[in-house]
Formats: sequence, structure tokens, C-alpha cells
Amino acid sequence: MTVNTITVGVAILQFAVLLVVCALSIRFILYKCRSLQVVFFTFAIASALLSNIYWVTYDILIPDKRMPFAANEIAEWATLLLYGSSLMSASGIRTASAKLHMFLSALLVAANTVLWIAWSGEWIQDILTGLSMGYFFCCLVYVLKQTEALNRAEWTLTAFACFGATAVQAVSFFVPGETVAVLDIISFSLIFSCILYFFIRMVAMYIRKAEQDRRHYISFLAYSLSQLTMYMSSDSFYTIALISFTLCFPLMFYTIIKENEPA
Amino acid sequence: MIYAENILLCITIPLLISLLFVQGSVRRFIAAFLVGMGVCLLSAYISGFLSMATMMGENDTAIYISPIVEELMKLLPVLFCLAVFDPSEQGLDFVAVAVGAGFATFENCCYILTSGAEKLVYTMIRGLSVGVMHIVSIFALAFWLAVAKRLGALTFPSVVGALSLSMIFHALYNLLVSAPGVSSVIGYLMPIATALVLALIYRKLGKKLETAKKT
Repeated sequence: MTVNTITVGVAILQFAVLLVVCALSIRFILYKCRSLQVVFFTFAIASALLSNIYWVTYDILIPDKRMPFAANEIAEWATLLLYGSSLMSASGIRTASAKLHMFLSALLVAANTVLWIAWSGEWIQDILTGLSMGYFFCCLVYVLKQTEALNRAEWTLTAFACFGATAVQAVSFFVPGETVAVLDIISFSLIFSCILYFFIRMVAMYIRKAEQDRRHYISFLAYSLSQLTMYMSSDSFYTIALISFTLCFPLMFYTIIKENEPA
Repeated sequence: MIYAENILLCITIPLLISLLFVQGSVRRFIAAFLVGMGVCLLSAYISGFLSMATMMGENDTAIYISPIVEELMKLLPVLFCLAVFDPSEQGLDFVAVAVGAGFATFENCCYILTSGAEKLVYTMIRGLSVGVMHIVSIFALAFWLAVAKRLGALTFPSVVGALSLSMIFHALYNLLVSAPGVSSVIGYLMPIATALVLALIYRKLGKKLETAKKT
């Protein structure tokens, strides 16, 4: 079984997950709560589902050709923008300043955009993806700061993992082929460890039945880190990131409905 | 080679004249239908330009570029109507369907003039697939916008989301019919099947949202 076959298998599994999450989200809006946070989240999941359908169909019909700029990119941008809107529509008192954190997240996305362009050479597509991802990251960092969902050590860990992985990936452009594999292992171990930490933290929060609202933002953080990893990886690392990315959908849904469930 | 502008003029003039003698929803429908045909011609210009600029072949242009350009162009009159006239949900659907029908009609006219209309089976397949696909994609887009408006979530990201729905549907159709065999059969059946499902969802979801709104 090749890595590509496994990736298509995971993508089909993602389709099933997204379909269920989308149906449950619509049901939640119809029967329980119509808060903007849930509405935007449902729209985002619907867009992600559409992107997934196109991608899976393309991979099955034309497996040997790299997909150029196509309609699913628009769905991916929509997903990111809608997640951002969902995060920003969450109620709460906003007092803390998050300018530095937002600047750093924008810088991270900008650095990654440069790497995407260097890898693919697709300027317009990568810049527009970078803009929508930048918006999502800024919204996420803003609410994480406002709700104090992360402590100082966790902020440091996240920043170290993200910037570290990006820097190592940048270095891999200037070293010979054998060293690239080693650098890949270093950078992806770093970022996967960070994602794993937040998964464990979410489970711990669930067991303790604590910090319900913060749990929601942590699930979004795990999602964003998985997506960032997906965009900078290939082959087996990509498949691992895709699995982690797929796991985030039900987690985000579960935490968002818990937060919005009528008393 | 066909002279698309001449064909457009030929179809448009009687419809334009008819606008003088009709009123109300019929006039709105004809006007939106004409806009749909105009948008189709503009889309063909833009797709042609992008095809030349990116040096893509005819098949690749149909798969990757046309769905994006055509759905974006179809969105513009619907968005204009939404922003300027603030129509009711039914009004928005009405305009969207008329734009889609105008677009599909003009595209089919040009296709038939290019490829010939000798074989009834092919023309029927064309009418039932592409013709329905353009109406379904724009109707789904308008439905998404109407739901977003009703739920107070009509923002830029929602519009991009709605656009992605129509684009993916269109792109999926083009992708499926481009490959021979089972996939093309699925592709040809997809628009009509989706139209039936969408009509069902529209009725059910519309009623549910209406009930939720009242309560």
C-alpha cells in the first residue's frame, strides 16, 4: 500500500467525518441554538466538505497530475474566513491587548506563504491562501489571548514549534538531499509534539470537565497547527497531519455545541 | 467560429421589446434572464483570455478556469440585486434562477451552433445536464445567501462560502464529464439528481427555519 493510497483513504474518511459533522451542525441550528458562532462554524464545515469532495474526486479521476489552481481553493479560503468569523462572533469581555501575538501570527503565516511560493511557484494562489490563513490565525490568537486559554509556557511552546519548524523548512532549501530528510524529521517532530500536547490537554480538560469555553479554542489551535503542517509537508508527514486535521473536526464540533448548548 | 455577440443581439432584441409590454415579476424575470445571457458572454471573454494567458488547453480550461469565472460572474448580478433591492428570499431565488436560465440558454445556443444539433440524444443530454447545472448552482448559491441573511450571518466570508458551493458543484460536473466511462454518466446525472434533492431540502429546511424564526 503506497502513501498516496493511504492519503486518499484518509481523505475519504475525512469526507465521512465532515458529512456527519455538517449534518449534526445543521440539526443543532434547526432544533437547539442559532448563535452566530455555530452558524459560521456550520458554513465553514460545509465549505470544507465541498473542498474535500472535489479533492477526493480529482485524486481518484486524475491521480498522476498535480492539481493546479481550482475551485476547491476558493472553498478552502471560505473555510478559513468562516472559522475566523466563528471565533470572532463568540461573546465575551475583550480587554487584553493581543497586538504582539497577532503580529507574530501574521509573521508566521507570511513566512509560510514565502515557503509555499518557493515550493510551488504559484504566486497568486499562495498569497490569497496566506491572506485567508493570516486572518484565521489572527482571529484565533486574539480569542486565545482574550480568554487566557494558554498560559505563558504554552504560548512559548507553540511559538517555538511553529517558528522552529518553519525555520528548519527554510534551511532545507540550502542543504543537500540527504540532510533534508533529517531536517524534515526534526521540524515535523517539533510541530507534531505540540499538536499532541494540545490533544492531550483537551482530553485532560474533558476528564476534569473544566474550562469548557477554553477547550473550544484549544481544539481550533490544534486544527490550525495541523493545517499549517499539512501545507508544509509531503508524503508520510502529510498523511499524519491529515489524520490529525481530520480528528480536529469532531473535536471542534463537540466543544462548540457544548459551549452553545441551551441551559 | 461563431459570432456570439450577433447571436446575443438576435435573442436579446425580442426579449428587450417584450419588456415594454409586461410588468411585475415577469418583467423582473426577463430582465434577469437577459442579464444572465450577457454575463455568459462576458464569462466566455474572460475564460478565453485566461486560457490564453495561462496557456491551458481547452479541456483544462473547462475543468479549472471556467467554473471559477462563470460562477463568479453569475454571483455578481445576484449580489447586486441583494445589495441594491434588498429582495425577499423568494425574490432572490427568483432572480438567481432567471440569471442561471439566461446563462444556460445562451451557452446552449452557442454550443449547438458550434457542434450542430443533428442528434437529438446529445442535445437532450446537453439540455438536461448543463442547462440544469447552471440553474442548480446559482440557486444553491442564492439559497445559501438567503439562509445566511435570515440567520444574520450575511458577511464577506459567507458570500465566499456561497460562491465556493456553486463553484465546486460546477467544477465537479466539468471534472466528471471530462473523463470517459462511468464518471461521465455520473456527471450527466448529477445536475438533475441534485435539482431534485435541492428542491426537497429547500421545502423542508425552509419550513424548519420559518418555524424556528416564529418561535
